[in-house]
Order: sequence, then C-alpha cells, then structure tokens
Amino acid sequence: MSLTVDRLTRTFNGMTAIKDIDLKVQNGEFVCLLGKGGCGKSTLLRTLSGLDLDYEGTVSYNATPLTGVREEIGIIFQESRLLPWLTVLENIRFGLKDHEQETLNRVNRFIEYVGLTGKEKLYPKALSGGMSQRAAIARSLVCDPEVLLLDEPFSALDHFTKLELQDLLLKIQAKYNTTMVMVTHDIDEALYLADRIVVLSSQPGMIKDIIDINSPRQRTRTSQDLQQVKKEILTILHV
Amino acid sequence: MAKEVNQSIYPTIQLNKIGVTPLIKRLMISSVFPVIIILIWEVLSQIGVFESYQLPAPSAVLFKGIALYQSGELLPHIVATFTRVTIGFVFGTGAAVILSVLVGFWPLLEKFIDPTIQALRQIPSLAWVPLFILWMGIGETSKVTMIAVGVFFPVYLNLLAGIVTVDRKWLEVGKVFGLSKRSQITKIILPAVLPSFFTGIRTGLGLGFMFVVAAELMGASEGLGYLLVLGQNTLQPDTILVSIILFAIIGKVTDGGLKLVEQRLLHWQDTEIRGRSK
Ligand SMILES: Nc1ncnc2c1ncn2[C@@H]1O[C@H](COP(=O)(O)OP(=O)(O)O)[C@@H](O)[C@H]1O
Ligand SMILES: [Mg+2]
Repeated sequence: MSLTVDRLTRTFNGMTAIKDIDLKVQNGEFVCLLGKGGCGKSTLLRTLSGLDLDYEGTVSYNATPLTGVREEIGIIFQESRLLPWLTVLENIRFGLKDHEQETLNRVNRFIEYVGLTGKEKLYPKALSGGMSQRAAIARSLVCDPEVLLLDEPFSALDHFTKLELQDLLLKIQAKYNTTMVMVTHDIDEALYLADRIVVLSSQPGMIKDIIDINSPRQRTRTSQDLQQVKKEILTILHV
Repeated sequence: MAKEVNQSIYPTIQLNKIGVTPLIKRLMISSVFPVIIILIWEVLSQIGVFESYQLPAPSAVLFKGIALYQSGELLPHIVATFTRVTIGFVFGTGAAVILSVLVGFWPLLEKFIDPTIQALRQIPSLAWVPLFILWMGIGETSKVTMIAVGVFFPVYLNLLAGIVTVDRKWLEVGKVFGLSKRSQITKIILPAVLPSFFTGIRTGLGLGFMFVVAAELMGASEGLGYLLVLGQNTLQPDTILVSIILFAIIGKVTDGGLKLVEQRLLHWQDTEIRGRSK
C-alpha cells in the first residue's frame, strides 16, 4: 500500500484552501495532520478519500491516480454518521455485499472487538458519542481497509472516552497493520499516536513541518521527550 | 463510558400508580377540557341561554345522531364521504409520489415541470371546482378529482423537499461504502425521506377532508357534506352539528391511524416530541 500526494491544491470559488501539498504515506504508518481549525485538514483528507475530486495535482493510491472512493480506503468522520434508521448491527454490516454466515461471523467478531457486544439491536439514537464512534470504526473495519482516514474522530468526545478510543486505534493498527491518517487539532493526541506529525499552516493550508516521532509504541502520555516535541510544535504554530 | 440519559422535559402526571396504560392516561388528560366545555354548553342550553333552534344542547345533538343512526340514514352518508376521501387520497398521493420522484431525481425534469407545479400551487384549489364540474359533471369523478388535487400539493411539496434536501452526510456514507445508484436510493434516500412523506400525507389527508366538504356542498345526494346542506335547508342545527362532529371524529381517527403507522416506521427518529399526544 502506498498513498502519494503530489503538488495538491484545492480551491473553493477562488479561495485556496490547501496549496502545494506533497506527502507520501508509507504502509502501516500512523500519520497525524495537525493544524488550527479551518486550515484545510478536512479538505486534504477528503481528497485522499476520493470523495472530493475537484483538485489540482495528483493523489495516487498504489501508484495509480485516485478516481473515486475505493474499498481499500475507509473514512471515519467527526460525527459517526451511523444511519439512524438502522440498528448497530445493520450499520456495521452496511458496507458488506453478502450476508453469508461467514460474513456475519466476521461482523460479530468486530462488534466484540470494538466493545459493542449486547448493543447490536440498539438504534443510533440510544448510543453515547463514544459508542457511536466505536460502531463507525467497526463499520469501516469489517470492510478490511488498508488505509483508515480519520477526521477528528474523537474531538466531540469526553476526555476519558477519547483516551480509550485512542488505545483502540493503536490496538487495531498493531493487529491489522492498518495505515492510519488522522486529522486532529489536539497536539497530545498526535504525540501519543503518530509516527509522523504533519503540521499545516493556515490560509492557505500548506505543510509547514513534518516531525518524526521516534519514540516506540506504548508511549507514556506525559513523557519528557513528548513534552519537548510539544514545545517544538507550539513554536512552529506560533502559539 | 458516559451514558446518556434521555430525560423528558415534560412533567409527567403520576397516574401510573393507579394502574392505567399510557394511552388511556393520555386520553383521560386530553378529554378533561372538552368535557368541561360540553357540560357548560349543556347547562347553558338547559337554562335557555342558547335558543334551541340556533344552538341545540349537546344531549339533543346526541339524540339526533342516535335517531339518524337508527333510521339507517347515517351510515350510508359516512360511507359515501369516507369512500370519496379514500379514493381521492390514494390518487392524489400516487400522483404526488410519482411526480416528486421524477422531479427530485432528474434535474432536467425539475427545471421543466416544477415551475409549473409551483405556479399551479398558487391557485387556491377550490377555484378549480367550477371547472371540474363543467368538465366532469356533479358526479363522483369531479368530487374525487377535487379531493385528489387537494391531497396532491402537500404530498408533492413535502416529498420533493425531502428528496432534494437529503443530507449530504448520508449520501457520502453510501458513496464511501460503494453503493450502486439503486442501493443509494433504496438504502439511503428512501428512509431519509420517509419523515417528509408522512408530514405530506398527514397534511394531505386533512386537506382531503376539507375538499370533500366543498365537493359535497356543491351538490351531492349523500355524504356528510350533504347532511350539512340538508340541515341548513330544513333549519335543523342538530343535523349540522351531528355532521360536524362526525367529521371531527373521522378526521381524528384516520389521522391517528396514519400517525400510528408513522410511529411504527419512524421509531428510529431521535425526536423527543414524537409520540406524545398531539
Ligand atoms: N465545500 C466547501 N465550499 C467552500 N469552502 C469550503 C468548503 N469546504 C471547506 N471550505 C473552506 O476551506 C477551508 C478549510 O476548511 P476545512 O478543510 O474544513 O478546515 P479544517 O478541517 O482544517 O478545520 C475553510 O476556510 C473552509 O471555509
Ligand atoms: Mg475539519
């Protein structure tokens, strides 16, 4: 798997949202896109997903230009976007074409994996924000994506739920070697999860710096090294 | 994980303790006001504040209704009106569904047809009456057509609005999971549009009853609207009131039926108000 962005520029009615983005995401890597609100993070992620094709430059998946959404690329939004008229179970198997026993077993395995056992028959209105996002993650995972794009998936959740779900992502990555590209405006989140942090500037969104985090997995959120990097990033962002 | 508790913003009256179901409880609460009004009306009629040839007492209206029922006159009137509304409703809704789907899914048709429909909508539908009678006579066809026209507009407008405003968020979910155009329609647009459809048909049914009255006032030999004319011509306000009350009851019951189906199909909606007495 490789995801390559080359001189990507996206303009909305004459306003340049992101400009000249060059980025190569490696297989199994966890990349965080970090920047202030409105700097073009979602715009960049949507072009990577194939949902938005009106850009200049190229986005290639395995060296072929992206022409639309593909099943190898999953996307998770800030709101879970569970379909309100389907139960948790129906939502999670939404992307699957067949309903063979084997598929159903797979769906059930993922329900258990994300911790939603017993909630299968509930409708989204009965779920908390955290449970909804777990269901959204399961819905993507059952389709066996190679890349998971995440657009501020936990920013609407309370702090503790957020920490739990961050660990869930790491667990998924360790098990399935899923490549992750995650948009966030939370520096601590990026420091805890990322192999690489791409810092974006605002208006237009351009890559300001790319920081490799060489610290091994199983990070301690409060470690001195990470705090040092945090200072560095804050300086880059001028705050 | 934080658990969300849906707490009602409405105060609940503690009738559960005496063991009544929520439905009966709701009926009881909602009938307090009309019962008081009727009692006051009855008393005022009995002591002669209202003249009986203008406003008969509730008891007199009730006896009139029973008499009409026992003579076998009442049921055919009810059946006639109900049948007209049902047929008109089915045709009006059918036409509205077909047209709004065509217009909603083919932008070219929208440009082509929708402006005309929007213009026709501006005509108060009752203005069609003379033309329909001229074309189709005073028979059933013109009546049913009028009712269908009345039902058509709210269904068309609501459904079309629902179709063209389906949230891009849901459409994107369909896209992300590689749905075909057809699955996109059946799995996303259809369920997303269902709430607007129900708003449309419930409004449409209400208008259907309005139009059946208009049609029957215009000329009919049976129907509850005919009973209104009869009461007027024979100076019998009790007959008029029987008809009015039956309209209220039938309207309420049919709307209640639709509401029940709506609740069954839309139970997934996250709205606090729905399901409460309305
Ligand atoms: N569909 C759109 N139409 C017009 N402008 C848009 C659209 N989407 C995003 N923008 C603009 O592009 C800029 C970047 O938006 P976005 O990518 O959503 O920022 P972020 O996700 O970093 O908060 C903003 O100024 C926003 O107003
Ligand atoms: Mg955003």
